[in-house]
Parts: sequence; structure tokens; C-alpha cells
Amino acid sequence: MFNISYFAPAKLSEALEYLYEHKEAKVLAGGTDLIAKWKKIGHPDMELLDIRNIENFAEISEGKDGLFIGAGAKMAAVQYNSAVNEKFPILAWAASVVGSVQVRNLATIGGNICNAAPSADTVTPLIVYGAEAVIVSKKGERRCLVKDFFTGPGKTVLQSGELLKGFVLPYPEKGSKAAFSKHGRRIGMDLATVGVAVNACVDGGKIKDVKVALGAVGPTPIYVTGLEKFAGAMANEAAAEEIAALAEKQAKPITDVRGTEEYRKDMVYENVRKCLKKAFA
Amino acid sequence: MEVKELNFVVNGKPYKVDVRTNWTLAQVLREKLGLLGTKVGCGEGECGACTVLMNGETVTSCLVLAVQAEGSEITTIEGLASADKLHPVQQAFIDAGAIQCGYCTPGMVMSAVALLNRYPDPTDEQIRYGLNGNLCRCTGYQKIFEAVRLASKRMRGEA
Ligand SMILES: Cc1cc2nc3c(=O)[nH]c(=O)nc-3n(C[C@H](O)[C@H](O)[C@H](O)COP(=O)(O)OP(=O)(O)OC[C@H]3O[C@@H](n4cnc5c(N)ncnc54)[C@H](O)[C@@H]3O)c2cc1C
Ligand code: FES
Ligand code: FES
Repeated sequence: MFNISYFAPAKLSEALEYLYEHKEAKVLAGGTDLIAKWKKIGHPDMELLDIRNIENFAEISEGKDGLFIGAGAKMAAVQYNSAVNEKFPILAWAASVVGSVQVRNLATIGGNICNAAPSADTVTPLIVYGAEAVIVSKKGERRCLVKDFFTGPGKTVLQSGELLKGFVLPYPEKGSKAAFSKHGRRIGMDLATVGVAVNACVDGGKIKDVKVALGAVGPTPIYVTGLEKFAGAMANEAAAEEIAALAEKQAKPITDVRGTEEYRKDMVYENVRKCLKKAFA
Repeated sequence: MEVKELNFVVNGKPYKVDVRTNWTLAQVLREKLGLLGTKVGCGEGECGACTVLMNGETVTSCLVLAVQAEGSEITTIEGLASADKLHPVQQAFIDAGAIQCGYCTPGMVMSAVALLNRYPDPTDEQIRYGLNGNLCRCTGYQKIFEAVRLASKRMRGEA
């Protein structure tokens, strides 16, 4: 116990080689989940691959097919980045409500997703913006929609030897508007009791496309399915209520210190309805 | 037990120390460098007592491994005052009576310094937002609020 081997390469190729050679190695980004957990479970031995020094890992850049956000971008960087604020405002908002100033100066967006907590704040915006995770390994690169990234609590599609490199967020369509809510017991420094993100594209008062994602109400973040049928429907209160009811049905919350199952279901309905109202406005 | 050499600058002074790879930055500051101003409360990022500036940004030093501080510049509460004068935020905490047991104070002051860097004339909302990673069990926060206001005024030359 208590022994840590630590490697912090500057080159991606070195990191991937290390991950390939050390099957048990853990990736260390900001450490706000990893180190906190390591302490709680009694400081077991670890092989750590610190990715913060890898060149371009914290980059945020506007590409042709969308905005690229490096896995190593800190919450504080996401929160204040002008392109994120302008084009993906609810992602900036979600980043701004993660933990505290100190946490946001350490925590990365990649760590938030890879930790795969159902309550992770930046996940629901990434899902409704249609973000793709860019995954790298020695064998090459692959992509996976963030909505398909989670396989269980704390579990993701990442295989041994793989690293999350970042996200590509396709630029939002004209006429689309997103809304976000983090429903919790208090405003600061708490995990969400219910998290909601919606993104709706409305054209001439009619829904072209609508996406809804839910946090903290199931073993993984939830992408609400079956919303295609709303294409062409009027973007009004009635549609918002119908979609909210569908979301409530698909939520699978548990009862814990933050709220009961019933309460969470109610809050899913309320918050989805409210968010859609904003997005339709 | 693995040991690594750590090169970093603390309060303007360069250090080269051997650290165990499982030590946190808070441990090294306190136990290796004897900088006992930085407190450890919860040890899990919740209370902010261990807040220091790392490359100019506040972090909870209980969640940072010492090896991660390689090449960085750290400022602790001991590094704020100049030779003959307290930092305006420190002075304001004293003048406003924002200190009771004092355990949260070093971390609170570091967060207040960072807060005033970002918002020299903060709104109530911004003060709350900037300090929500620092818990205080004594003061009820009101005096801390007043201290931040006072420091802000003095730093802007208004008081
Ligand atoms: C006090 C406190 C408050 C918090 N509040 C919130 C909150 O309000 N909302 C919220 O969502 N979260 C919160 N968190 C959780 C945490 O801060 C976030 O999940 C954060 O984004 C994790 O990022 P990190 O860089 O610190 O991850 P790390 O702890 O470094 O890593 C987390 C996990 O992801 C893996 N990993 C990280 N990066 C990669 C990568 N690029 N490729 C592959 N695997 C990777 C690691 O191996 C580890 O398993 C809080 C944590 C603390 C300590
Ligand atoms: S001791 Fe570090 S946040 Fe509490
Ligand atoms: S003064 Fe005692 S905890 Fe703040």
C-alpha cells in the first residue's frame, strides 16, 4: 500500500505506449475524483499516468466540423472560453456550477466524463449538443457519441490502453436554443439531485429537432429517446409537457440523501418542462 | 516507497526536495517546508482550508499530489504579506473581525485574494460564488463578507 508510480509525459505517443505496457495504470487528469477516491479507499498502490503535460491536451479550438475541446481542458477554461460561451452556452454554464473555484481550477472536462458519475454536470450539455468523444490508443483513433459513452455507473466504453483525447461539438443549427438546469439542495458545492439539458431547433414555430438529457436519475446519464415524433409539432407548452412526461417515464432514479425516487421523478418533469419553455421561447 | 525529486517555487523561493510519490502538496508544504499556515480540514476538496495558489490559481492542495506540482509556482498564506505589511485582504480580515478560531482563515484569505483578482469590485453574488469552496464553522460568513468588501475598497483606493 501507499506506493505510487508516477509518469507525466509530454508526448501523446509516450502516454499511449505507457498505457499499452501498463494495463493497470490509471489516468490522472485533475485528480478531483481520482485522488479523493484513492484517499477514501485507503491509499492503495497505483500506477499513475498524468496527462496534463501532454501537448495540446487542454486546447479548445474552432475546427471546420465543430469546436474541439481537449479532454484536459479545465472547467475554469471551459467556463470562461469565448467560443464555448458564444456557441455552446449551456456547456459553459454547466462547467461554472461544478464544485467550487478551487475544484474548477483542477477538474477537467475529460475527467468529468470518464469518471462516469450519473450526476456529472457537463455530460448532459455534451449529449444534447451531439458531441462526439475522440478516443485514442496505440492502434489509432475512434469516435463515439457522448450519449453512447456510458455503460454503467463509473463504467465507459473506454478499453484498456485507450485515452480520451477530447470532444468535437458540431456547431449548432440556426434556430436552435439550449437550456440547462441543475436542481440541487443548495446553490453551490453540491452534486445535482436532478440535472437536465435540452436543445431544441425551432423553425417557424415548429419543432425541427429536440434533444433531452437527464443527469443523476439513473445508473448512467440518460438520453431521452422517442423524441423524433415531435418533429413538425408546434413548439408550445403542450409539446413541452408531453416531452417532460416522456422524460419522467424514462428516468430511473433511486432514493438517496439528495432526494427520493418520487421527488426526483417530479423534478425531472418540472425541469424538463421549464427548460423546454426557455428553449422554445 | 517511491521517492521523486520535486522542483518548484514556493512564495518566491525555489525549492528542490525529495518527496514520496503518495504525498499531497498540502503534506509537503506543511511537513517538508514547515509552512503550517495551510490547514488540512477534510482532505477531500470540500472545505477549502488547504487552498493555495498554484500558478496563480486557487487549488485545494489536499487533492494535488506533490509530484504534480513539479515546475509550478505556489503561493501560500505565508507568501502574501510583504516584509513590513500584511496583504490588504489579511488586514481587512483582522479589521472586520472575520476570524474566530482561525482554522478556515488561511484558505479563505487565499480564495478572497483570487476573487478580488477576478472581480476587483465584486457583487454579493460574486463574493458568494468565489468563496463557496471555503467552509467556516464559526463566523456565519457575514464578517468575512464585510472583510472582502473592505479589502476591495482599500485595494481600489476608496478607503
Ligand atoms: C469538492 C468536489 C466537488 C465536486 N463537485 C462536482 C459537481 O458539482 N459536479 C460534477 O459534475 N462533479 C463534481 N465533482 C467531481 C469532479 O470534480 C469532476 O467529475 C471532475 O470533472 C473530474 O475531473 P478530473 O480532471 O479531476 O478527473 P480525475 O479525478 O483526474 O479523473 C477521473 C476519472 O477519469 C479518468 N480519466 C480522466 N481523464 C481521462 C482521459 N483523458 N482519458 C481516460 N480516462 C480519464 C481517470 O482515470 C479517473 O478514473 C466534485 C469533486 C470534488 C472533489
Ligand atoms: S482539506 Fe483540502 S479541501 Fe478540505
Ligand atoms: S473562523 Fe473558525 S472555521 Fe472559520
